[in-house]
Amino acid sequence: MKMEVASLVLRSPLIVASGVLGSSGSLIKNVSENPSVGAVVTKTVTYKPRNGYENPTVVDLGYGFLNAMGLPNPGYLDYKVELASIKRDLEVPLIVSIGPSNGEEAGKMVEALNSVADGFEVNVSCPHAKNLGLEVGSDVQTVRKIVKAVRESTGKPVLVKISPNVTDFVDVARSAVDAGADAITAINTVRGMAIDVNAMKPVLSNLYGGLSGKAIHPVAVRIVYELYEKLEVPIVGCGGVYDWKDAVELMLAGATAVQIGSAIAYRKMSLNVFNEIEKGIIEYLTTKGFSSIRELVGLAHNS
Amino acid sequence: MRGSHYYHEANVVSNIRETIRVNTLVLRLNEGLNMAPGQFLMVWRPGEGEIPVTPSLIQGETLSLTIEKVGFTSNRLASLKPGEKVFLRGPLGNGFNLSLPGRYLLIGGGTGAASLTPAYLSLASKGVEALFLVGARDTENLVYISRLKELGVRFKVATDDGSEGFKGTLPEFFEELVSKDRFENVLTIGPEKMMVKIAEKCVDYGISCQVSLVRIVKCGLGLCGSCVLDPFGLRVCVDGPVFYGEKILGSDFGRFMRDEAGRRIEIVQ
Repeated sequence: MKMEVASLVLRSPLIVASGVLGSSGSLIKNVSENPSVGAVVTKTVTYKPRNGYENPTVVDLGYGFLNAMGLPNPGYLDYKVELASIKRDLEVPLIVSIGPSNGEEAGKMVEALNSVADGFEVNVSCPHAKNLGLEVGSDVQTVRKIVKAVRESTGKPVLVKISPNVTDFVDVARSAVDAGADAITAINTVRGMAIDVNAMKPVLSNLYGGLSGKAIHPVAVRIVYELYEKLEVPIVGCGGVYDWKDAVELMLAGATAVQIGSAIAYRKMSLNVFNEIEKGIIEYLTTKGFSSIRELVGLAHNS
Repeated sequence: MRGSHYYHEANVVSNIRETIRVNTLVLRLNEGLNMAPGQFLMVWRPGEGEIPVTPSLIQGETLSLTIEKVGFTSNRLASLKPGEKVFLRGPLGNGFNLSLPGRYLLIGGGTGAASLTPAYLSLASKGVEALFLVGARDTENLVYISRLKELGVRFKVATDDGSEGFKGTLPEFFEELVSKDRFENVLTIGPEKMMVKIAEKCVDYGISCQVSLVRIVKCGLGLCGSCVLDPFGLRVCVDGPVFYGEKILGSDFGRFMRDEAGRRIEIVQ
């Protein structure tokens, strides 16, 4: 089920979302061996190493995860070494997720990581990191500066992942496109909180975190739908894709490809979910008489 | 639908000082945990962090945790007073396989002597023959000895300086024992360099060896990658913490772990 997103040729439209594989190159290599995986997005890497927040950092709600990991990562220089060690063995495009706090950091990171990346996803939407993610991603001007710096440092495809936690997400996405983004990934997690009824305290040490999983799927569908009406670039749908219907729904709303994260964790990191979703989409295409997945994209819109 | 986010509330009944660096908390829960020896819990104190601990006793609603003071959270836990509370997430991970045929030799270094005890008691209750070796640098650093005696555990002691029992390390003691006696299975918890030596010898002798590893565990759900063993991409929190030694020899086992930021750092002990 071949698909093209912003000049990335994917053997499947199903992409491993950022954040579910940690910093380990070996885990990325393992997942890339699954034929239904079209590409892998790495965990977000920042300019300086980050320890992340104290535990608890993730709450499993059953219907989704609430996390405030705090973007732990070894920093872009160490991470480059780790990615370089597996790059040769990867069978799919490697999209490196970066979390810069300004244009200068963005430019330096992309320049350094260009040799190991097939594309970049700019994280301007992490809802729980200070001076990063959403704190830069809610300001249209900052997003523009960061994406411009990324664009000037690479000829490879640039995706920008946006947040559902701002009302003007269309403006944020448009400023990213104006600054040179090739595609928009929507959405990152939805800000939320969990309180333990026995401890009577918020569970996350950061108090609030980002909700992913089944619960946010309708939010993703709505935002992809709206972006598809307003933008000319491809949209990569992300948010609560657990089965083929969830994926098809995002495509009908306007997504060219979809990312899967929480569902992998719920399957004990088994990537069978990719095989099942791909099979489901193929059957759906056959049943409905479509010859390619391309025909589905945005079909829910009146036009 | 309830995710694993649910925390069990536990009251501290007593806090026993084992050594200058190690304490055992005896806890009382409202409900017993259905937990296999070798599985672990994430132990949380709101505002003070959450760390992985393999219990040193699992008996109905009573649970004990033997905690070495390493960082802020473990220091706080080790200083709790009766009546204070902790919150437990789990059980998590895979425990020991105790249904393999033959005799068992259990080797616990440091606090491993405590966290291997549930496995010993489970074997003993099934009438399986087991011998327990516990070790430390010296008498002062032996943990859980009085508890092992109370529980009627059949154990032998090794100390590096010979202040008690066999004079030498646990791998040396192990080597001496297996040269005279036959064991089909080894279970071990302790410093990783020690476990590597034991796992290597087990390969030589054709003994099945299960080791229990400790890493920085963050999510405990297999998704954050903090506890990964390279190059296999095994996650200690869900694929372990118990592994067959021969399956992970040559990996990060005994050589590397990841720090809070996910950087690979060398294991010194």
